[in-house]
Amino acid sequence: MTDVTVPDELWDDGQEGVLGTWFYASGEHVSAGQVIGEVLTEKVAHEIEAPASGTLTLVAAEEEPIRRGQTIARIE
Amino acid sequence: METATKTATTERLTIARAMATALAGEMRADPRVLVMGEDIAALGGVFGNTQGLLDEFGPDRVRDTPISETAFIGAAVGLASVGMRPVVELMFVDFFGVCMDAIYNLAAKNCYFSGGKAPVPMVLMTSVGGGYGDAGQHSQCLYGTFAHLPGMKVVVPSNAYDAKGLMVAAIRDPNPVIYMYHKALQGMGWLGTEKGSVVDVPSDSYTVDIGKAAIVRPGNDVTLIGFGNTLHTALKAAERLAADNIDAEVLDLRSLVPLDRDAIAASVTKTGHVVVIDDDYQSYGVSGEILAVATERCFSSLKSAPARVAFPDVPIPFSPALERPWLPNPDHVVSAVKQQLGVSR
Repeated sequence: MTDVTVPDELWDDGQEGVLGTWFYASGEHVSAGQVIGEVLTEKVAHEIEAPASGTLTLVAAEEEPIRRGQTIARIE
Repeated sequence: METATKTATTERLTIARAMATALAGEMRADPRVLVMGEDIAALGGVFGNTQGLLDEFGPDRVRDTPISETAFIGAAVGLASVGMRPVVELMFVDFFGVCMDAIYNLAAKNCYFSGGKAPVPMVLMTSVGGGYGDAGQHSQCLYGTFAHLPGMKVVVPSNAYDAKGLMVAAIRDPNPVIYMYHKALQGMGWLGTEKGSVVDVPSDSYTVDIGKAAIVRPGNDVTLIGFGNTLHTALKAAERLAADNIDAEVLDLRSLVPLDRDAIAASVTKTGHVVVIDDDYQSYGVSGEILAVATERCFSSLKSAPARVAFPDVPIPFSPALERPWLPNPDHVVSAVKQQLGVSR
């Protein structure tokens, strides 16, 4: 199982972002490197790529506040 | 002919990615294709639709320009006139004023003036639409402004599949094509990404016919006509109507010029009721043209007065409290349909 986490370099310490849109639903198959969703901060969207291939399970919901390093989905 | 065939590989793309993929594919296939605009090179476009092009094709073919639409859109007309295939970006359609002479007096007319000897095969891609509090000079659609002028084609994709196929078709088309992409569908989260616009797209190259509408939801009771962002408004309204046992057909125009009048007439003849949804200003625009088609072609089949849901004829407000209620939404559409069908709310 591989965790999908919010990348560290997206914003400065202490700031919060928001989970924007998931392009896949839980239970769907994704391939490593595919863009599976977006994270938003400061009016900018950052694409989240699948770190591995497998079945996706979403952990964070759309519009939910998120922090750096947080696990937002899992792939197994 | 749609050239899409069953391909082994598809990828789920935003409209931004689909546009970039289409541009890259055509640039690989045709050395005449080049891209120009503000922040389209190193940044990859403020709406993400030229990502990766600079790295692959270099600064000769992927050119950042100064903030002078007058200069670089004029230059694109010249490039196209001497045999290149330029794709230029007008970042916000709202700023067409400073470059419109090059667009409608040169690009749109030179082919006619020269008896076909000087075609202008350029693509002008431009962002449209509001809904995120960017006020009256960054939120307009202006579909009717461009669709009114003969000599140019106008396309408006509602999803990534059409975005890629229409871009490839636009680049290959010998005429000037205005490619209007809606910010709310683009895959730039700060504007809100409409989920329905992110779809699986064949990795191979294909075209979507310019001038062909698509029935995206078949139905029998009423025809809802949308395009770009309002196609998704129509689909959401259709789902709500289905809960009340009203079976709506939803037509995605995909192109405004040429307009698929046959598809409009066929659907309206079948259902007898039509509501057009347009987030451009209401008067003298696309919604009026479609209702004219419905009355000219389907008069004896109509069972109620054709209706439209469009943006009121006022500059788009900055305040979200003032802007949001006036943008077409599913509530407006459901209420228009129920009024047509004589169903109480």
